[in-house]
Amino acid sequence: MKFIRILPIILASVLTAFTAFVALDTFVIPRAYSVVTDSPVTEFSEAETEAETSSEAVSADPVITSTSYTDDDIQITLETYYVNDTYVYVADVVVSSSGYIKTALANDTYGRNITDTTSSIASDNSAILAINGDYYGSQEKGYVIRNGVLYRDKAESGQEDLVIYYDGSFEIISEDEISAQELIDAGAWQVLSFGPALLEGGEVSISQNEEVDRAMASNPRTALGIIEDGHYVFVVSDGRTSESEGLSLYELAEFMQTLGVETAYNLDGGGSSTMYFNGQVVNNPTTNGSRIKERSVSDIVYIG
Amino acid sequence: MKKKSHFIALIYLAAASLCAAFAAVYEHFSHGVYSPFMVFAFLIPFIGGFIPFLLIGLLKGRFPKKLSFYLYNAGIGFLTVGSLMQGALEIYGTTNSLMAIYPVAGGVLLVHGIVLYLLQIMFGSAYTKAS
Repeated sequence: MKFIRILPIILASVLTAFTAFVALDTFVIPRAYSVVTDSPVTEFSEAETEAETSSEAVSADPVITSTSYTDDDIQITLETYYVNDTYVYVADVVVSSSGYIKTALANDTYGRNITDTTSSIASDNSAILAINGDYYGSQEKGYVIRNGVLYRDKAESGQEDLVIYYDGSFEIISEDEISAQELIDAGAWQVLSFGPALLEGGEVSISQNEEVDRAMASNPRTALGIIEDGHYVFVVSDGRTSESEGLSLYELAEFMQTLGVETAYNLDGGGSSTMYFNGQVVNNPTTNGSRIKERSVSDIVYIG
Repeated sequence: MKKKSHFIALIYLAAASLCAAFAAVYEHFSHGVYSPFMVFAFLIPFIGGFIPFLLIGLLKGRFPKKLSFYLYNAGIGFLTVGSLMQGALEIYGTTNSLMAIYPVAGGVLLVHGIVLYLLQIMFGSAYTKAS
């Protein structure tokens, strides 16, 4: 009878303790699974050797302005648009090899709750241009392939990924239809697992009502697109501020279509949306509501 | 017993209202990201607590014995908190495999509470003495 009397206290304590642990496990406790290793592949060796030989012969310094960067292999032009009551930042990128489209993980570590700001990760990796990635660390499933290394092969049902191959081409795939190892075997250089795909074959591939999960609203956005071989766009929009309302996914897709993008893919948005260029954060990232501050993320996509 | 049932029903109604208010505030600051687990979490204490205890009171049914009552309440508690947590995780855009424990633990507690209550009704005083 004594046990029954204290049973409610025991049950309430178990529920409280378990809930606190789940919250800490989800948002706070860092878990490192592996440290970043060098890419095991040599597909870029020829192009990079050529580039290195060329740069040694000419040794031209890059030309850098507040809105552009140019060297022998990389040309970046930054432009700001104002569409749908929102500032949108577009980095037009032309590279001589897709090996310049790189990704980096926070603290060079693959794991959960291992985060850092986009600008800090970019700075650590000497990035010229960077945007936040897919925040793989917030999910337990979904392929993670970075710089040719497979970190996670657990498929998420219904998940659409962006695959960047060694030849620089983009492809949208479904994790239901192909395994992570098959993607590696097919020459995947980067696989980003967020979505959805915004444009395929130059056509808008989402409906007006389709959003990330239940985000039926205008928000800050991050997206990556390809115009043609070696020619890409990195796009970040502001949002959640009095100056910028933010974009719906459909508005983002329509905007990228006007840039001539063939394939475009949505990355982690909201407070994560950040663009870094030449040592500066270009946009107005929001954290904890509309406060202008960079949020820490798991990973970035960068040129460098 | 009628008074006690109505009192418990009122507590569940207050819990349901609290869940609805919490969800409304949470959704207000979630920048248009909605989760049905958050929005409809209030239905668990409302349907699982308020209505049954109100009916027990109105129909002058037998009030559950302590063990059955505590297990049932804990089941509703696990399911409600689990629903709110699932909503919070969905709105943040993350997942955790531990979340599967909430419905399992909640379901087991709930079923045990209901079974004990049914035994109490079916076997009446014999069961009552044993418990």
